[in-house]
Amino acid sequence: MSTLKTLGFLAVLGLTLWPGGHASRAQEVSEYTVKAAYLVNFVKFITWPDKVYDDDQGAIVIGILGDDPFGATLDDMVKGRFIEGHIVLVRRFASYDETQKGSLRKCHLLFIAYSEKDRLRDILKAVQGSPVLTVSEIERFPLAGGMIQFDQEGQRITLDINPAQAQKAGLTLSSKLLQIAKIYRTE
Amino acid sequence: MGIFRFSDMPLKKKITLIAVVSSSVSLLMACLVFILSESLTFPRVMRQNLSNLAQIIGDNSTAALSFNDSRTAQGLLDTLKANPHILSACLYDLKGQVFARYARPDAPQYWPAVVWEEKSEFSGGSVRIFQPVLSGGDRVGTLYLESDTREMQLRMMDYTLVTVVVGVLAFLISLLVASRLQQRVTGPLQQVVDRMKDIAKGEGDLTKRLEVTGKDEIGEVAEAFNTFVGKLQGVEDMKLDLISVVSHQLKTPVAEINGFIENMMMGLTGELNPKQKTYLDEMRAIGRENYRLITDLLSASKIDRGVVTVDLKPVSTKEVVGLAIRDYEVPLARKGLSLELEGVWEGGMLYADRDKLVEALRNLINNAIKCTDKGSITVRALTEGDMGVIEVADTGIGMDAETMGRLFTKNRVLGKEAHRSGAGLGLYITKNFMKQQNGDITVTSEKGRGTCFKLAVPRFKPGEGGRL
Repeated sequence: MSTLKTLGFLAVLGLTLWPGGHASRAQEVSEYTVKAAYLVNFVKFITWPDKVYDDDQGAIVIGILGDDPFGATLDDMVKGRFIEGHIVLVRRFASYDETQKGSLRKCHLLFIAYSEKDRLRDILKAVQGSPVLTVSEIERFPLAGGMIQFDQEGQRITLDINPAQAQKAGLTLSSKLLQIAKIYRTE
Repeated sequence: MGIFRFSDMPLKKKITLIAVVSSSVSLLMACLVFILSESLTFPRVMRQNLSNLAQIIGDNSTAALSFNDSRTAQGLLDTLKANPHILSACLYDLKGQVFARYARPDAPQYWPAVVWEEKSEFSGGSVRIFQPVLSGGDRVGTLYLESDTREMQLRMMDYTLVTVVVGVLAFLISLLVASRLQQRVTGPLQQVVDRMKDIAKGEGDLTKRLEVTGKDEIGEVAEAFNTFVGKLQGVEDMKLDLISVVSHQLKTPVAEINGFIENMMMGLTGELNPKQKTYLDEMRAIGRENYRLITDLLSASKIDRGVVTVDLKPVSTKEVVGLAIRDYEVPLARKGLSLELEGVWEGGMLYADRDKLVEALRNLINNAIKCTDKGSITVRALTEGDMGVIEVADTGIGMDAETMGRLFTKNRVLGKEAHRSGAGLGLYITKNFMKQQNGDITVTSEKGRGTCFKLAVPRFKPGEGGRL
C-alpha cells in the first residue's frame, strides 16, 4: 500500500488518539475508532495456522457479533488494504444463535459485542477448538474463557489477554503484544 | 646537527642512511594509507551499526506504538543505557509527537523535531539517524538515535599509537640491520683503502695481495688493484735487476781503476811530482767512495730481491773488531780523532757471519768519523744476557728524534750537515744484515753531544747447536 494512504489513515487515527479540544461526542466516536484500529493491528501480532486461509481467496475475516459499535469506520480502515499479505473482510452477525456456529468458526478474529453478554458462554463454546481470536469489551472476558478484552486505564485503552486460551485454539501471540498487555491466567 | 654535506659522509653512513630513510618512508606510507582507509570506512561502519541498533529498537517498539503503550516504549528506550555511546533516543508517533525518549544523564536533554524520511548525519562529534518504524509493512512511528563518535576517536587513537610504536620499532630494526649490512659492503672497501694508503706511503709490501671476497664491484676493485700491484711489482723487480746488473758491470772497472791508481801512487810508473801526487790522492779517495757506493747498491738490491745469505759461524769479538778497525789510522789522524777500544780483548765468542758483522762495524766507524770533528770514537764490547754487543760511540754532531726514526729506512734524507757523502744506504743494509744474523742494530743520540750505535748478535755457546 502507498505511504500516502497509510499516512492518511494514521492521521485520522492520530487525530482521534490525542485528547484536547474535542467534544465529548467526538470522544465517543474516537474510542471506537481506536478500538477498530486495534482490531486491525491485532492481525499483525497474531499467527494463525496456515490452513485457515483456504476460504475467501485467502482473506482474513473479522467477524462482528451482536450490535456493531464501529460502523463504517472499520470498513474504511480495511478497504483495499493488505495486512501481512492478506485482504481483510468484515462480516457482521446478528445476535447469536446456533445456526451461526459454522460461519463463526470460519472467522479469524471475532469481536463479541456487549449485547452478547448473556450468551457469552455458548458463543465461546461454539468457536472452541477453532483458531478464532476472540475479542470483547465484556468485563472479565479473559477469565470467562475469552482471549482479549478492551479495558480502560484513564484515557488510554488497554488490553487484557489470556494467552493460554489463544494457545489452546492454535494461535500464536507475539511476545511484543503480550509485553504491552495485562496478562490473565486460568487454570 | 649543523651543516653537513651528503657527499662528505663516510660510505657506511650513506648506506645506513639510504636504507633507513627508504624503509622508513615506505613504512610511513603504508601506515598513512592504513589510517586513511580506516578513517574513510569507519564512519560508514558506525552509521551501519547505529542503523542496525535502530532497526532492533524500532522492531521491538511496534506493539507499543500500535497499541499506544508509551510506558513499554519508554522501558525499551531505557535499555539503551547499556550502550554508553548512545547520547539520546526518541520515538515519535505518526503525528510526529514524542512517544518516548531517552538521554544519557550527562548528555544534553535535547530531542529534535521529527524527520519523516530515513536520514543519517555526522555533526559535532556525534552521528544521528532517523529511521521509520514499520509493523507488518505499515508505518507506526519514527525512531531517532544519536551516538557519540568516541569509539571512532578511541579507535583512531589506537591506530595512531600502534603506527607510531611500529614506526619507531621498524626504524630501530632497520637501523640495526642497515648498520650490520653496511659493514659487509664497507669492510672490504676499507681494506682496499688501507692497503692502497699503505703502498702510497712507500712502506707497502708489493708481494701482498688483497683478498677478493666476492664478485661485486668491490671484488672487482680488489682484483684490479691486485693486477695493478702485480704490474708495479714487475716494474720494481725490473728496477732491482737493472741496479744489480749495472752495479756488477761497474764494480770491476772501478776496482781496476782503483788498482791502477794504487800502482801509480806506489811509483810503478815512475817518479811523481807533487801536483800529480795530490791529484792521484784525490782520485784514489773518489774511486774508493765510488767502489763503496757500488757495493752498497749491490747489497741493497740483494736485500730487496731477498737473495741475501749469511754464513753463521763462531767468531771472536776480538777478531771482528780487529778486522774492522784496519786502515782507519789515516782518516782518524786527518781529523785529529782518537780511537778508544774498551773490553774488546776480553770479549767472548759470537755466533755470526764474520764478514757481514765486520762490514756493519766498518760502516758505523765510517759514519762516526764522518760526523765527528773533534773528540774520540769509542768501540766497546760487552755482553747483555744471551747477546754479545759491540757499541760505536762518537762525540759528533748527534741527531734529533725525527732523524733517528727514519735512520734505518731506504732513501732517507738526513739533515744537510750529516749528509756528507754516500747514497745513504749504509744503515739500511746494516739493519738487514743484523736481522739476517738473528741480531739487531739500535741507536741512541743527543743532538750536539754524540751518537751511540749498538750492534747485537747472539753469543756462541759450544755444545748446544753452536748457540747460546
